[in-house]
Amino acid sequence: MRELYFVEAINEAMIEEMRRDPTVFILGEDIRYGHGGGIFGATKDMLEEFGEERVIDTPLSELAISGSAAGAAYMGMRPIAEIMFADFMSICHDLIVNGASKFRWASGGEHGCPVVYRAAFGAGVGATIHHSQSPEAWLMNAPGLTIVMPSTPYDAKGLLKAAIRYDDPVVFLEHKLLYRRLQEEVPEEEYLIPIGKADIKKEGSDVTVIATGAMIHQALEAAKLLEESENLSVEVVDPRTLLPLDEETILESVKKTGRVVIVHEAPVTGGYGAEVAAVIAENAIEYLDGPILRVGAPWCSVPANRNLEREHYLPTSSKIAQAVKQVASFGGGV
Amino acid sequence: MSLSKEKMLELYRWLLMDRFLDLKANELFRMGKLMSMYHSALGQETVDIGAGFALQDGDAFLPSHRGKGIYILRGLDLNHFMAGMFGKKEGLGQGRIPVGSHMCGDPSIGLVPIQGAIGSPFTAGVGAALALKLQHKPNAVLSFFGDGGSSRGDVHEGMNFAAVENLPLVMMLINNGWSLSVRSEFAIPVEHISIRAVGYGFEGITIDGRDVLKVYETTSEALHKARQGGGPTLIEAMVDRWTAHSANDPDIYRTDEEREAARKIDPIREYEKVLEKEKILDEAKKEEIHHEITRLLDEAVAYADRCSEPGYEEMIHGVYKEAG
Repeated sequence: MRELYFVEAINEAMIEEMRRDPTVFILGEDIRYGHGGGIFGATKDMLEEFGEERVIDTPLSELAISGSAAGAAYMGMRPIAEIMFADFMSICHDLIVNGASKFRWASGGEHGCPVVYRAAFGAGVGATIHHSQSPEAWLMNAPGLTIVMPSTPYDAKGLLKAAIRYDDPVVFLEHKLLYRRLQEEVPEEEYLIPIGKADIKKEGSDVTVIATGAMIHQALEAAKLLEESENLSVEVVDPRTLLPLDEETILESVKKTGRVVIVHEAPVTGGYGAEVAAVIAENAIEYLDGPILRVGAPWCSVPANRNLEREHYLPTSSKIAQAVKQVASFGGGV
Repeated sequence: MSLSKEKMLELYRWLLMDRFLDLKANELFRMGKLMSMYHSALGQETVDIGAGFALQDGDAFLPSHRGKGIYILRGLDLNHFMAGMFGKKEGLGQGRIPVGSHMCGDPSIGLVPIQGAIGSPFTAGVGAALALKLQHKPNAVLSFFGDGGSSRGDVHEGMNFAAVENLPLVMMLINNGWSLSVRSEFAIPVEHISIRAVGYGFEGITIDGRDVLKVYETTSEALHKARQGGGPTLIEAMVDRWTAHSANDPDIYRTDEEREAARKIDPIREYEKVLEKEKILDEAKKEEIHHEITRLLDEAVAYADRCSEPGYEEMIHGVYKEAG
């Protein structure tokens, strides 16, 4: 089977959906000519195929992008709004949390706002303080919103296609570190991955590690390491859709292992992991052998220095392995 | 773009509907029957209705947070709307939203929901115009906002983007001289906001918003231009704010003289004079229309009173699209 990079999977998903549905269009900054189709190349070849009408280079105006995408979606279109860096989602906050995500509820469930806000997020590429953050927790407390964060090219394509067909607003977060570093087999035949379904990336029986985005790969590396050195069996769960959360899959895994570590890139305090931990504590605390541990960034911003960023700021496989070993020592050990 | 005598009378009828609905809402608010916030449009009915009257089927619109008559003018059922203002289960919004103020939406009649923060809906209106353009529809969007909202950064972004994309958008800026308690002189550094249109390369016009025929004609022309691919127009309609900002506002920042001066001209009375002069309206006809609208409103209130209170079930569903 042919292999695709993460960013190629994103690109292919959008092209396929734009071919299938004439109401799909894309707007954003530098998506026509910049770097040959978006600064990460996600919109490559789209201008050539779909023309200027459906591939819209906007002024440097995140408010206009996010707001007009919501308005167009309400009036029958399916816009993909590319927000160049997820850090800039903060600028778009109003129309997403006060507008798009509330439109359906306000109409008694009748009229939705099928817009996808795509954004490149995450650290590890030296993009520094305002081009590296993971903004999922900034958006978590908004009823009506759906947040998707794929970790592999296969998931990225299937989830983005599903997000474009979804009838409510989706924030779709793509890790920029994975764009051109991760390649895997992606079938040419059409497939969709349902929004709201978690995936077990690796089965195990001793400890559950719930990780998101690029952290999945750190978690898998940690799992491999621990299996070899400590004879620990680690299950790695990828929520894929962070909001609404697939509680069933997560709770099932936790009930099986009795031990859990939650990993994400954003700072631990008030992070997405806090919500996952609360759900586990409320629903499955009697199954737990030890504390729910969280691994995330420390309480500071993303540093510019490469060593600080990669070794001290970001969670690494060794930090995850350490947390897994710690939690494995409870319940009489493994 | 001038109106037939029949249409002129119909316009009058809608102006009265807007006025009487507003007065009724004020009365109901004081009785504690309105669930929601209440921002009066008294004295500026000529803008909401005059401009709304220029809309055609297929056009979209974003009302101001004041005018209520425009919702009925564009096709919402008065009883349903009134029950919605009461926050009742059978009413518009099922008790979820401040009906008549914000968040009422219905794409089938081109009604884009507006948000409660003044100025926030503006870019959504730009998006509605973008949708019409991409759908190749011969229609346009009428987007209301105010002098207060014009200070928002996203209004600038929206105007700029609408101009670049040459969108079918008519921006109706209702300038009543106040951002709640802040006088224009402390918020707007120019005499007329329409001058800003120059910076976007589209037309900006200032008109007397109290002249309903002027509002109708100017809006009609701008909508016509937009539907033909002529791009956006900014219309600044000058009005007086008769009332406080909202029913919760004690209006302590104006002097009695200022409040009196604001009410010196009744735009609906001015229009009556035109109709009387043209022999379209006489006392008997006036009486008949007053009676008819009063009856409709009384019926709507009676219906709303009969409707039931929503419960948890009415509140919790429909956050996401549900199957079936």
